Amino acid sequence: MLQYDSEASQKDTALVSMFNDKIPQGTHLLELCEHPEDNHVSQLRRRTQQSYVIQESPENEFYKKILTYAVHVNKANGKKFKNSRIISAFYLSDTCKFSSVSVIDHLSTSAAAQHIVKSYVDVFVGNYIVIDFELYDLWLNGLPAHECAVTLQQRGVLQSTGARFDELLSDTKDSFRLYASLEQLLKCPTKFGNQSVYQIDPETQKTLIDKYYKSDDVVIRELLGRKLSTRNRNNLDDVSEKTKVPLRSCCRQFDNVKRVFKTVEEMPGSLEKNIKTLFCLSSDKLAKKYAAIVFMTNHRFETTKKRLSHLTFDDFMYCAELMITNWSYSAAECDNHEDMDVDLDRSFLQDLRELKILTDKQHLDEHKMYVMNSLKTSLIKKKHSSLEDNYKATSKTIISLAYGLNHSKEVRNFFSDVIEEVIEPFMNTGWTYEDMKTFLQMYKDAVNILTFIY
Amino acid sequence: MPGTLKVKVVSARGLPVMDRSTDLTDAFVEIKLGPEGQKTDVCKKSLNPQWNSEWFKFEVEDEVLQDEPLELRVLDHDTYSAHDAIGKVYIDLNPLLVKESPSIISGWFPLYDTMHGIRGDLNVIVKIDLFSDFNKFRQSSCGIQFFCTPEVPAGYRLQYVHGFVEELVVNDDPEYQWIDKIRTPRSSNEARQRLFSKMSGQLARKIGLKVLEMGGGAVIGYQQCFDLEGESGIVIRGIGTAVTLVRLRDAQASPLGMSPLKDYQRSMVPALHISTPIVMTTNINPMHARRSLHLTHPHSLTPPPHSDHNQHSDHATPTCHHSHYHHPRSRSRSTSGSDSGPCSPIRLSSSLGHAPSPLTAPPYHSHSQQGCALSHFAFDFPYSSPLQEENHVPSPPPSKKERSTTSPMKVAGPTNRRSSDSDTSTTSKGILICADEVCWIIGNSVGESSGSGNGSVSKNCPRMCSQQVNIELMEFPLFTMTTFPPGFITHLGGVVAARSVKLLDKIHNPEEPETRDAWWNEIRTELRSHTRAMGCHAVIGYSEQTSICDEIILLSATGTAAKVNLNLDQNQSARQAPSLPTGAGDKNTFLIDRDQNKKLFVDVNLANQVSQKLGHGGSTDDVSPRVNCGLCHIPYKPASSPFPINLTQCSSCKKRFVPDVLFTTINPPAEIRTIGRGAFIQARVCRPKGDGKADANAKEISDILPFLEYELHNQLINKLKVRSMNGLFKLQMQFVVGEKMLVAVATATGAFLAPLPSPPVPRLLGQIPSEEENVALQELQLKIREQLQQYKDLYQLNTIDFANQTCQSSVHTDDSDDDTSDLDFSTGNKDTFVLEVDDTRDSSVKAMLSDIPQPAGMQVCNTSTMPGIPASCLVANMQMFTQVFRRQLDSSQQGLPKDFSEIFDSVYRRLYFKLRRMIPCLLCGLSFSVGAPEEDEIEIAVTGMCVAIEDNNSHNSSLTETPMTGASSKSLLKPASSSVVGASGENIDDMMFTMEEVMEGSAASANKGFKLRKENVKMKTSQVFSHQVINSIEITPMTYVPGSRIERYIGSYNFFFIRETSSLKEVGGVCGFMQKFITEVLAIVRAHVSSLGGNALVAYNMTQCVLLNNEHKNQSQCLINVCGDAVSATKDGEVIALVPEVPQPHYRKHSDSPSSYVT
Repeated sequence: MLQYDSEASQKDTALVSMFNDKIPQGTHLLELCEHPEDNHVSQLRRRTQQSYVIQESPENEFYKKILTYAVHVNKANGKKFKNSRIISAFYLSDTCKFSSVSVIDHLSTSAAAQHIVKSYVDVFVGNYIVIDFELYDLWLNGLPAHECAVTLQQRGVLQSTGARFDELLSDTKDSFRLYASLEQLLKCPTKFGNQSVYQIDPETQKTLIDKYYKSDDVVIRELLGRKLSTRNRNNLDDVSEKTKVPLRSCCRQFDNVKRVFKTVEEMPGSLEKNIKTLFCLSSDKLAKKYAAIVFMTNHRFETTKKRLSHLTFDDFMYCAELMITNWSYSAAECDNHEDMDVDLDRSFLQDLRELKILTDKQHLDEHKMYVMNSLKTSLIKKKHSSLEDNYKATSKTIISLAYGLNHSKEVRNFFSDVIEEVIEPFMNTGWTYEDMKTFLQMYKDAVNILTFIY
Repeated sequence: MPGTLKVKVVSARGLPVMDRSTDLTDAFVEIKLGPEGQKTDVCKKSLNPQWNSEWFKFEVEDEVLQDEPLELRVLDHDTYSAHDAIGKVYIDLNPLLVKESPSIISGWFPLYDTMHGIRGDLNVIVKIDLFSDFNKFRQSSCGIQFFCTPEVPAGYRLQYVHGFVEELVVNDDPEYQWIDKIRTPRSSNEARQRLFSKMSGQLARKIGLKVLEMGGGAVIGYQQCFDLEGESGIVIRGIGTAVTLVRLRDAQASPLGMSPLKDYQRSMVPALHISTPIVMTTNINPMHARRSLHLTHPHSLTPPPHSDHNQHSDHATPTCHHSHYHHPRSRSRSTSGSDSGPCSPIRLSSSLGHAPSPLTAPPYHSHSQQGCALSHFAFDFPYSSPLQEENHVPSPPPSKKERSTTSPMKVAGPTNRRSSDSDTSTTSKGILICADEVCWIIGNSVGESSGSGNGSVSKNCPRMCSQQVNIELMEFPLFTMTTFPPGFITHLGGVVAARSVKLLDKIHNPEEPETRDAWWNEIRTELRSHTRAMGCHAVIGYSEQTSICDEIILLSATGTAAKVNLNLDQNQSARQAPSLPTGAGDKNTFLIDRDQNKKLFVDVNLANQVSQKLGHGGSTDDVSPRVNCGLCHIPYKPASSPFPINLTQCSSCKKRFVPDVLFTTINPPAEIRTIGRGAFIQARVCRPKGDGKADANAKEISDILPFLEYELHNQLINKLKVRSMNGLFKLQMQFVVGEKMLVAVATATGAFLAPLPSPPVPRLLGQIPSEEENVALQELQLKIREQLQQYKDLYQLNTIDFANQTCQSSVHTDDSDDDTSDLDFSTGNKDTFVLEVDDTRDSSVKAMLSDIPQPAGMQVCNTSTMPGIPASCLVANMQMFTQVFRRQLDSSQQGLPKDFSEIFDSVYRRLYFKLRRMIPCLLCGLSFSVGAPEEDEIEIAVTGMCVAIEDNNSHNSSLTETPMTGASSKSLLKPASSSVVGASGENIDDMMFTMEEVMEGSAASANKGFKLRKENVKMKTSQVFSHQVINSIEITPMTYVPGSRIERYIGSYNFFFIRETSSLKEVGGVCGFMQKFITEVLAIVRAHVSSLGGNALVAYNMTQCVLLNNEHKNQSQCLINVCGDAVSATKDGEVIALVPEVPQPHYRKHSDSPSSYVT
């Protein structure tokens, strides 16, 4: 349902009711996106597959104008409409509230809707950029100005100041315009150092950037391992629906990930450090997070399988960090640091092939003996014996996982393979985390004790 | 004087992508000065090109340097098609031409394009080598300094005031030329921008020449206005006050005397003291000394009690000092010419001073003739012969007659002023009609002859004589300053204004300035006649304005009538005082009183401005009251007041009469004691008008104007009364002609002036008291009472003993028997202020009560300091803001006024809401600019400064103030500090303060506690707003930077920006467009300030903001003109750099290198 903006004055009440009358029940109005780059109109059209042909009639005059406007906006956004007739698609979903107000926003300044509200100017510019971070957070969340103002009103901003909603909304819009223009800089934070347009103190700058690059784990979890393509970006409303994070926020996070990925993908040196300097992030944690995401994305790890659905982003991040520190080119053991951090150390992977020796009968038995012996004390009888029975198969699975890391397809399925082939069998036999940890530790240590004969 | 301009283009950064295929740009730079142009090599394929060019040299005349800006244009090289423009940088070269200013301009300048805004930055170094040829130098106006600052700039001492300078330049508007039909918007905009900046250069140069002619060295209070007349062209007008300034604590500037003062940061020793050491040197040439005797008489150290012109010998020694003090300072001939100026007048002044009553008017005319002659001589012979002078001491009476003919007012009395020149086709009219005058001119004209003759002129004379060249002007001089050195103003009369409606299409030669010159002269003359009617001889706080709507132009001039003491030597009055008794009569006793009073208030210490006479004042006067009630005394004789006016005895001295309200256009003079806080007061009137054509339209407008003026005045009075105040400062009136309406807005800061009587409680008087109406009336009365009490609490006026005041005044009314005839009239409703209301829904009463209250902890004023808040409480600038607001009006007749005031209300609400986190703060320098761009639209542009105030009120000011509502505002500070930035204290600051604390501990001065507390507060604010770090650039409409001291003035900045877009929607609608544009303008201003080595722009003013909007075509165009003075300021407590150049590289390093953490 169209949420109308009080800014657009009381006259719109009538307008909105007119809208409601004209539109068949059960359907919703077109909601255009305020931000051209979001490109939603075409996407939305695709999804809803509905369109209205507007009859020539005086009552429909206004309706028509809006549609013209929609077409116009679309054109301005660089999307060529093949059909210039006034046929437009209306986006029909209330899950996508993000842009609901912008129709009126735009209309109020558009020539087509002059009879609604005459143009007005209402801007406030200061010599220093002062950021209201409460508002900034709301903006990052992707709420449109009007909804933000409502939210703030509910939080009692107005009570303490005695202002009216009008001022709050005006302030919100003003700030949002500022943030929108700052966004260009935020997309490439190093530019902050070279720009003279905005006078911002370093502390505020830092906070601005950190907040802009902050991400929701749930959203990132959804993005993990996906190809960062435009197609995926257009499907973010699924993510939004699932995570209950506003679509615009999802888009921002997607774009951030993509931008970070594109920037550091080909760059030598430590992934984390690169990210931190190139994006002026002040917290190590955030840089680490992006490093993990980039790493995972680079290898396109499969994370969407149902089997993996219980895993959170933190789980993956933990793994990714370990992989980066131990398996990648920046690993301590790796002596070849020329290549990129994002890639697994080739020579390390080559070395993993040699683990195949453990599957030889002779070595297997020896290894098994060591492991079983050292586990005797720590494992209860039942588990111990079940392990003893399945030892050969288990060990083989582990080795083949390691062996498989040489093939990128195997790498991609690493997580699901581990779960499926290693973790699940153990879980079925009632193993605990501690049991597993000791077993794997022993499994690893035993190899060092073994003397291999080639 | 020719000079060589050298330009080096270093590099650029952040250029836009101009070549889609490579995503890169092949940039090169064209450097142009006037017609001559050169260019750099092409730096291929880079968005951050490094040219590091050799020095491009331009050998040009100084006129070119003054008129033409240096133009740098960055282009993208294209082999096959025309090169694409990326952006431009205009650099005003005038700062380089002033001796004291930096010799180099260097820094990053934003590349500005009129269609795209800022696109990258260009790093340029500019130098000038000037040929120093003194003779030629004097003839060009090179080196004349311009200050937008409407007061004596910090760090300077005012030596002479030479008077009013004005000039106007006319040109065709490129936007209306035929060529505009075929060229692109970009080239059209650029042509306009270039023209604007060329014209303003020309204007300044011409004014500079005038200043030189008058013998001045600088212009202060320089105002420049653009009139976009459309078809008939562009007019740039400049007005200012020509002065001679002496730089304090600058040994080089004053080669001989001016021994560097020991404590130059603090009070300044007045000229007298400085001059003493030079006595010896002067007498080397006795002839010399004898001649110079007359030159600078007023400045003599210990003038003889009876300075009779026959007694040369008496003068000899003291005056010698002076002549010598000046002489070495002004090595050049023209300055000595200016020095020679004072010679003859001084004679006259002394003679006048001795016999005040018979000489009702000074012998100006003969004098002026002589003066002219002298000045002519002065060029050839620096010193005029004293003998000649003596011959010229004329018999006063005939000269008086002559004077009146030369005086601007040929019409004798104010009553005749309504002379409209119907002979011309234009409709012109004296707007200030008699009825109005009662209101505006809160005093009245008294017998002009005696009024202007006596107290004023005798004191004034010496000054006037110093520039005979301009004696006619000086007769009723106009001063554009709004803050004056202590002792300058002796009496304040009231606001005077003159308006005139003209038709632009009736100008015969649109290209020639004559017609406009005549218009303005007419208006100024009228203003002067008003001034005279008020018994004053000068206009201070003078400003001019226009409003253009189609072919109608409304010219207005406003100022405050006053009596001033141009001779800033405080001893002058002391010397004259004793001589006065020689004249008999009670009028003279008045004069004595006044003069004695005057003697007392030698000094006022404005915290920011270096107080100049502190030591001196303390030494001469046993009592050192900083206040002077004399300023409020009526400048005319109460007995001959032709208009009804309430006069009461001055509450301070109980001797002289004061009006019941005093309106002024100046900042509160420090001499006037105010009680409580100031209040922001605004009156606004909007009236519909018909849409007649040309003459009829002009007639209608000029018919409505008096009513507008009257209503405006009424509103102001009402609002003042309901706040229990009696004085208005910095009254700014704006009259706007719209297509279908007339708008008038008056903004001022109200205060309670201690010498004036306390205003009575407003009482309502209904005319048709039916039962119902009566009840309603009662209710309204009750409401007013409540409001009154609220305001009293708010402005801390509760402490005034109103009863006591009235009682006092009544007692003294009885005393003044001789004036009962005047007072009789007023006694009737003296204690009550009666508001007559037609019915209970009367809008005037509504308007009186309906002001939007400012939030607790926020103070608002339009002056540069708030009455009642000592300058020491203003700790730091927090935010300079610009708000542009445009709304549609309900054009129906009834809706108009209501809608209109609502628009203003929403502007306030927005402002208060926006700045809520800055509380406790003071919004000062608030300036409103109203426009009626469309038939039914109102546009309001507000600029102002939000200053942090330190709330703990142990003000050690002498004001009787109750503590502010401390609790509430203090608690508000905390959330602000945590939420706004949350930055931790700045390291440098911390260190700085601890250092000072140690220092002070050892000093153990009396005010230690106070200072320490102040520092604490400062630390707190620096934590809250860490953006106040050293490398930021302040822009402020004030003339000072709180918490900092202005070290030097680098140059005045004045630029016109045009921005246009043909994709309005894409840039976020007209709001987005405007927001971006204003942000960019501020950014460019900052870049220019920093390239000059400054870190602040004071006296910032957005003189013009014209937004043209066509949403049908998705287009918008906006013009903004900004001006101000670039300065370099150091924070209090910072060690002063010994070499002035030091802060410059320090600063630049900051701006050039990206914030450290980024890299």
